[in-house]
This record gives sequence, C-alpha cells and structure tokens, in this order.
Amino acid sequence: MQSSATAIEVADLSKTYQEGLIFRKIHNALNNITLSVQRGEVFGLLGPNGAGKTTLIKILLGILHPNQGTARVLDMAAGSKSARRKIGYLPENLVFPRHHTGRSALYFYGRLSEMSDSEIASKERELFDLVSLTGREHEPVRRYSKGMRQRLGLAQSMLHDPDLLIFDEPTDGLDPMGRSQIRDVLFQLKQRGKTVFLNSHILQEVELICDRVAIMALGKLRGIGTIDELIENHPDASKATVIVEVLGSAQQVQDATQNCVISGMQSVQSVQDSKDSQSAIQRISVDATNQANVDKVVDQLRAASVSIYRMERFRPTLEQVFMSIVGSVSAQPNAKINSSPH
Amino acid sequence: MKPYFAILYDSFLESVSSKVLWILLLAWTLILAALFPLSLSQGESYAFNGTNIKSAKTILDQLAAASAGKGTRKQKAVFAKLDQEFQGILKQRQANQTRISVGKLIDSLNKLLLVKDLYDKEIWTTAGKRSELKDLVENENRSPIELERLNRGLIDLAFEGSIESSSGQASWVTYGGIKLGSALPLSINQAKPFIETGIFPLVMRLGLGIGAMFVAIIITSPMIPDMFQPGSLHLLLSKPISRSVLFLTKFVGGCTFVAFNIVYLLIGLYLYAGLRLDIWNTGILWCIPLFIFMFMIFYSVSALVGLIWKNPIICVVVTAMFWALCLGVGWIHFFFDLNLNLQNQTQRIYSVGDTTMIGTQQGRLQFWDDESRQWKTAFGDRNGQKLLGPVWVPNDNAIYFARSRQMPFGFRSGENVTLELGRAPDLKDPNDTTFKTKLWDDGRLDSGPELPPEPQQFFKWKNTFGVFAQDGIYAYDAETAAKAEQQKSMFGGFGFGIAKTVLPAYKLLTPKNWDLTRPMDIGVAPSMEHVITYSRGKLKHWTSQNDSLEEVGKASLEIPDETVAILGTNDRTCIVCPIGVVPFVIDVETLQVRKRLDDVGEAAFKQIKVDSKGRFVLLTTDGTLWEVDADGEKCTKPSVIGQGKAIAIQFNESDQLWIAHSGKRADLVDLDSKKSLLSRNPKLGIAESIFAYVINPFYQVNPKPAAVNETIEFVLKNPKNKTLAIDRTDLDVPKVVSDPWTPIWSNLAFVVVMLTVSCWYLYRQDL
Repeated sequence: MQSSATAIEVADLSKTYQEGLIFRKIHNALNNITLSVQRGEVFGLLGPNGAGKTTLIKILLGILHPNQGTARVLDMAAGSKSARRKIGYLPENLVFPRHHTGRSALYFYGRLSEMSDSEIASKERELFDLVSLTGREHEPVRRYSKGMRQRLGLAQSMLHDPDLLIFDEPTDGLDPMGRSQIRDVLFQLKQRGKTVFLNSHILQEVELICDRVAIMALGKLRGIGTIDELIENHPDASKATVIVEVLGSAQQVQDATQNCVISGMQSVQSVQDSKDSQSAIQRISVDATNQANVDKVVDQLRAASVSIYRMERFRPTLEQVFMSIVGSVSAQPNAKINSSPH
Repeated sequence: MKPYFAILYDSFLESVSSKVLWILLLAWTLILAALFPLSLSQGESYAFNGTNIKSAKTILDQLAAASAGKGTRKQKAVFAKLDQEFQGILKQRQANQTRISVGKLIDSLNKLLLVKDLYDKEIWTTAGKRSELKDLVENENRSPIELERLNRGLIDLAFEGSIESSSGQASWVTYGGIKLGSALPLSINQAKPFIETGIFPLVMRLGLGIGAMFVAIIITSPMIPDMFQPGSLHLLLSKPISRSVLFLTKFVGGCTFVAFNIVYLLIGLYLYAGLRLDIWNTGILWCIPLFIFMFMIFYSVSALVGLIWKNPIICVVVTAMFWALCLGVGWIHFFFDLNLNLQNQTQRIYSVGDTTMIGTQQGRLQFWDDESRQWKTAFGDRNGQKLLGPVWVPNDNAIYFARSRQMPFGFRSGENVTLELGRAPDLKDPNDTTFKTKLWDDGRLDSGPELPPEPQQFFKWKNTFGVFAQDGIYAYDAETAAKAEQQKSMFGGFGFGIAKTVLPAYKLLTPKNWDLTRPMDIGVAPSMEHVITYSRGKLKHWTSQNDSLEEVGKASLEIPDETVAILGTNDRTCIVCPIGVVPFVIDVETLQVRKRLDDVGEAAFKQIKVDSKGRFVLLTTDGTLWEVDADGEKCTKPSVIGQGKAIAIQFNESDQLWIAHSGKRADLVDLDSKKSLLSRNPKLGIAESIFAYVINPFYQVNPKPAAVNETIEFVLKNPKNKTLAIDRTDLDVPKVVSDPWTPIWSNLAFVVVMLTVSCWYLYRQDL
C-alpha cells in the first residue's frame, strides 16, 4: 500500500477536561484543531503554557482520548499500537527510573520498542556518540545533569529508527550549551529527512529548525504556515520602513540632519553608546513608502561624513509575530489571526 | 525480549537496586537465625499431667481421708510428704468438702516426685516385688531421674486405679540446648503431628498470613502509583505496548517482589523444620504459591486503588479496610456456622422405638418430631458436653447416657461422671415434659449412679448396657442401681457417701488385672458372644462366659503404640481401622491378620457398625461410607444418599442403616437396594433461614482471602495426620468437610474481576 505524504493529519480535534466531582468545571483544552504535517517536514508547535500543545501530542500518542474529531499518524489511527511502533517520543520533563544507567535505560526503552538486544547493541554506540554521552553511558542516570538526561531521552527516541519523532519541549530548562547540543541533534535529524514534530515555546529554536510552524493559544490554532508566511501575514510586515544604522555619536547624527527636515525620517535611536564616536551606533528609521526619502537621508548623512554601518528593510521577527498573536488572543480569546491551515 | 518481559525484568532490577529488598532479606535472615536454636529434645520424665490422672476426685478424697488418719498406710505416707499448704487444703476438704483444682493436685504430686525420703521399706512393702521398682528400691545412690521414677511408682501404688502409669517418655522444647518449661507429655513422634497440624498452620496464619502479608502490602503500595509519574508514564505509553499489559506486568512485578521474599522465608522455614525438628514437610514449600496467591488478592485491591487515587497511603488504608471487611464477614459467617451447624451437627444417630434420636456435638439428645418436622432437644440442653451413649434398652423403656466435660487430645477433666437415664418421650403427648430445657423440671430424667472411672464408651450388652472404662468392662445392673438410689436418699443427696455405693451398680465383666491403656477401643459382636478390645497396637479377644468376659487370645498389630484405632467385629471377622493405616481384617478366632482393605486406603475412620448378619459399614472422618461383607472379603463404596457427607451411622433392628448427613439430615437406607426408606429433613428455623438465605450467600459472594489459610493448612498436613487424634474421642470432633481448593477458585475469580476492572479503568482513563 502506498503511504500518503502526510505524517500527521488532525481534523476538528477537540478535548475537554472535567474537573470536580460535585461542581463540575469544564475546561476546553483543544477546540476544533485542524492541521497536517508532511513527511520529512520539521514542524514546530508554538504556544504559551496552557495553549494545548501537550494535549495535542498526547492525543497523537493515544495517551489521551479526544472528545471530538480525528487524528491520524502515518496513515494509522493515532494511538494505535502500529502507529506508536513508528513514533519516537521525548516527553516534557522526562524522568528515568533511578536504578538505570544510561545504557540500561537505552536497552529498556529499546526492548519496549520491540527491538532485540542485538539490534540495540548495533545502534547504541552511534547514538551515544550522536548525543555526546559516550563515556558516560555506564553512569547511573540519577547522577546525570538535566541536559544529559534530555540527550539520553533523545537517544532512546531515535533508537528504533522511527518515521516520526515527537519532541515535547526538548530544550526546556537547559543551559545554552545543552540547548545547542539538542539543536545539533535536531539539525542532523532534519538532514536525514526525518519527520519531526517539535513542541516548544523557545522561538529561536523553532525559527532556526522548523520548516513550518503552528501557533496555538487557549486551545485553538491561531496560525500555521512557514515562518516566512507567518511573518508576511503579520500586519507590521506591510509597513515600508528602512533601518539605517550609522557610526557616530547622537550629536553627529543630529548635526548632520538638523539643517534640513528630511521627510520620511521617523526616529533616531541610539543602539550602542560609546565615548568614542567611531564606535557608537545610531539607528534611524526611514519611511520607505517613497524611495526618494531613503535616498535623501543617505545623501544627507554621507554629506556630513557620517559612515553608514548597516542598512536594511524592516521585517517583523517570529517573536514579534508570536507575541502579537498571543497578545491579541489574550484580549480576544476567539480571534484567529492569519491562520492558513495547510 | 518481549516488551512485557522487559518491564518484568526492569521491575526485578529495580527491586534488586532498592534497599527495601535487602532490608527485608536481612530481616528474614535474622528471624530464621533466631528460630534455628529452637528445637525439641526427647528425654525421660515421670511428671504428672492432665492425661494420666484418671480420677482426681478419688485421689483428693483419699488424700483428704489420709489427713484425718484414714485410708491406707501408703496414702498416709504420701500425705505426710506433701507440702504444708496443700496439706492444709486437704484438711479443709475433709472437713467441709472444699473443691480443689486438678492443677493444684498435679503440682503437689509433681513436687513429691523430688522428695528423697518418700520410700520407706516398712510402708512400701510391695514396691520391692515390682519388677519396675525393684532395682530402684535397692539402689541407695539414685540419680535425680531414678528418684523421680521411684517416687512416681510409689504414688501410682498408693492410688492404684486412679493414676495411669507413665512410660517416662517425654519431650522438651529447647533453645540452644537449654530446656524451656516443663516436659511435654508426648514423645517427639507424638508431638510431630501437633506441630504439623497445629503449630505450622498457626505460624503460617499469624506470621505470614497476617504479619508478612501486611508488610508486603505496605511495601508494594507505591509500585502502581509510581507508574503514574508523568515523565515516566507518558514515555512508556508511547511505546507499542497496551495499557493493560503495562498494568498487568507492573502487577506481576509487585507479586514477583513479594514472591522472592516468600520463597526465601519459606525455604528457610522448610530447612529449619527439617534440620531442627526432623519434619521434612513439603507442604511448607507448597505454601509458597499459596501465599503469593493470597498476596495477589490483596494486591489486586491495592493496585485498583493505586490506579484511581495514585496515592500509596490510600492504597494501604483501603486494602486494610478491605481486609477488615472480609474478616468481619468471615467472622459473622463463622459465628452462625458454628452455632447453627457445627455445634448442632449430628454426632450419633439411633433408632429408639418408633422414633429417631440423634446426639449432637454439643452433647444434646434430640428426637425427631414428625409433626413439626424438627429435631427436639430432650433431657436438657447443657452445652459443651461429651456424650457417652445413649443406649436404648427396650425392656427397661430407658435411654442410658452420660455427659462429661469435653477434653480434647486425651486430657482428662478428672471429674467423675454420673449416669443419666430417661424414658423415651411420648411425642404425641402434649404434656410430655421431656423437652423441657431445665433438668430439674424434667420428670422423665433420673440421675443414676456414678460411672466407673474414665468411662470411654457405652455399648448395648444383653438386656442392659455395658461401659468400656479405663480399668475394665462393666455391665450395668439396674437392680443394684435401684438399691444404690435408696441409699442415696437415705444419705440425703450427692456427696462423699455416694461414692462408696457406686461400683455395685456396675458389674465388672473383665478380670481385675486389666492392663489396657489409651488409645483404646472396643468392638462387640452383634451376638454378644465375642468382644475384641484394642489398646496401644494390641488386640484382645474376649468371649462371654456366664456373667463375665474371658480373655481367649491376644495379638499385636504392626503399628506404632500411640496409634488411635477403632474396630468392629462379628463372630468371625474383626475390622480394625487405625488412623492413617490401611484397615486390617482380623480373624476373630486366631486374631491373625487375614487381609488388608487396600481399596479403602490410609483413611481415618470414626465409626464402624455391624448388622445382625455381620455386615460392616465403615464411616470415615471425611464422610465416606464403605460396606464390607461379613467375612471382610468384599469392600465397596455404596451409592447411597449421604455418601461422601455422612457424619453418623447406625443399624436399626431390621438391619437398615440410618445415615446422618449434611448437618441435620438423616435417611434410613436399605443397603441391599441402596434406596432411602425414610427421610428426616428438618425445616429451617428463623436463624437457619437467615443464615441460609442472607449470610451464607453474601459470604459466598464476598471475597475470602483468609480462606486461603484453609488450603494452606490442608497442604501443611501430612496425609497421615489429616485427622489429629491421640484418643478415640478426638475422632468425634466435627470436621468441616469442604474442598480445600474452593478458596483458590473463588478468590481467583475475585482477582480476575479486580484486574479486569483495573484494566478497563486504565484503558478509559486520560493520563
């Protein structure tokens, strides 16, 4: 049977929690989520705490039962044993039983993934090298740092060579070095063409690795697409502004521009202050609706012998997009911004 | 490796790496090490105990008389050497009939065993002529044990007939070679069945069944809740294993942890029992799976609670509540069962004229009332009594019986027993007072003369009844008894004076040099021409000569002396059934073993009845009936009503067999046609109905983890010791005939239900 190109297919997925025995409170963790992830894609799921990201992952793994909608993983019903056979999972706050060493833990989870000991043995060296745990694999996991535990978690998730990898906050609580190491592993997986479903609220990580991103807030899907698509669909992206960064003190810039009112010049902001005027940097925002404005500012500055250090057209960051979506959701819970489900 | 084996193996690794396992193993090792010096040792002791004082009252009366200068020289000599305090008590008894406990008498006599100058050549003139005392008397330098033996022999001489002689065989409990307490009146071989059937089950029930089980529940309580640690559980659930398998494997992991401990402890106990007590009881090893199973019952509850509340403390509390509930229901059931069924169970059955009579375990006599379809208690309802008889003598229109205090395992109450005689009640007479509950209101019951010391059995003997007593076989003489009654009224009631008039009412049929000691039994042929007695592995054949019995032969059976046996005989064949031994078919004339009843096997029998044609019916303690022809050649298991659950049998005068079975039911059966001719099936009273329709069904449905103890007791019993008896009367103890494996099936069903519910709950749960 030919497999489809879709690795994850979720349609109208809803999940409701009930709390309290007598006075029941209903909490909508997921509300009509529809998305799909292509095979070979690194897909990032973004959202603040409580957005429903982990709930969605648990449904994909069969840990939670949805109240409504369907979820399929690798053309199989989400949560089915056959689907789980092909998934590698790294949970949030992974805890290894204290009696394990790194190696025994790897063997334990490998056996649970229906691998024979010889199969595990043939892959353990490569994996320990990959996650930089070689030489530490015989130590008890209780002595491992959090980063080491996460890397061991990554190793176990990859051990059975799954078609789909689901990582839930893999770099959460790690120091920069730990994050970097995890990120390296993710890059390698990307290069190998693995489908990765990455749940994170660390935006740089997502921006660096993911092909496509979905943003969730309050149980709803608020946006989905490539990072470029999300940014381009952001209202600020349509604003035509050019940022000019110049070397010199604020006084020099002021002197260079005081004799003439440059139309389109919106603001001057000190980026790097220094007593040495040659090392101070000032940022000038210029309205680029009219290209003549930009040319005029450049001419003026150069005429005043102000060195132009950098110049670029303004583009909102993923963080700005994220903050703008999440912020607007806090104000309007039912809002959906630029959502373009794949 | 399959995923569930991986989890199981992981649980094992977790256990090995945990301190709890090693602490427990250390604890078990310390317990076994502390137990190891405890042992039994055999030795020589001539101390008195409850089993060898035949008639405490007679001894006390004689000692009291000696205090007033009466009685024989020997009795006076014994009195003179007693401690002053006891002498004073005896003087009080002589003056005002003060009661003295048997224990006090035994203590004082035991002190006397250590007195160096009890022997006086002038007083104990016959002692030197006795072979067992001759050497001791002549030896001036006696060792302490020789002195004890001599003094015991002298005291036996002073109170002949009231004290059973001692073989000197005794055992002690020792710890590290040091004797603890006084000597046990048993040889080690006699003590072993008690250890196997009494001590082992007690240790298992209390030590492992309660103590270790509670420890196991506490220790394993966090195992299931720990499974729900979020970072760990979600990863497990993401693997291709089902939740049910995950849960069941964790459950098995908990059981394996406990199993490891149980195996260690029980193998240790097995080795201790074998090496230190010389009891190599494989039943201890069979207890291993049974205790693991018992733990599974509790753990199935703890596991479900762990799934729901995910809290170890709640697991322990709810499991303890479950335990308490099961115990409570079990106790209520036991209380009703004991009072309504066990104590009320038929022990003997008789045909009295045109009605049927039963004797119950409580010592009540009950007649069948057709009108009310009930057994009605006659002659008072004193409970907790051992019943002797009754014997129905139609010529006297009298029912002879006696009731004495029930003493298990051959212990003697030391009290004298009085004959009771009553007329058969007229059930159709509304004014009949037989069924009044108070003896003193009952005009139809008379108190007869005191029975010979330690009466063992009543049996029908010609126109009267016979008494098989410790010192001979007696026949009741109604005429002499009537004279004794007259004397009694002249002396004005019960008391010391009456004792003198006792014996004439019973004519001694056997010679005075009677040497039978317990365990013993008697079989009287229906013709009453032949009587066979059994005592400590030896048989004697007596024939009826005029008004006495003459010994015409004796033989020994190749069985240990202490073996309890029952027997039945006709004029040609006698069947002897020792406990745990294949029954012997004996030729009455020669007392030679003709054959063994191999078909029957090594069973324990409680009754043997012989019909007028000499046919035997044997009843085992398990309720199985065996029919043996008059020559002992053909042995069959008759397919009659009550087979397998019979509790008492008796032939009526038409050679039809009354079979009491199933508690209070009785059927009259024709053994030739195997048909039931008459049935006595009492209707249920209110209490019985509540028990049958409310308590018992609830009990049956309710889980019964404690009932596994019954299976454990069953496997611990050596097959030869299944009936614990060191005296003939011990065979009358009601036996709860139930399948020992029933608790396994019923509890297994409970465990399966609990685990199914747990799996279903886990499957449905969002984690």
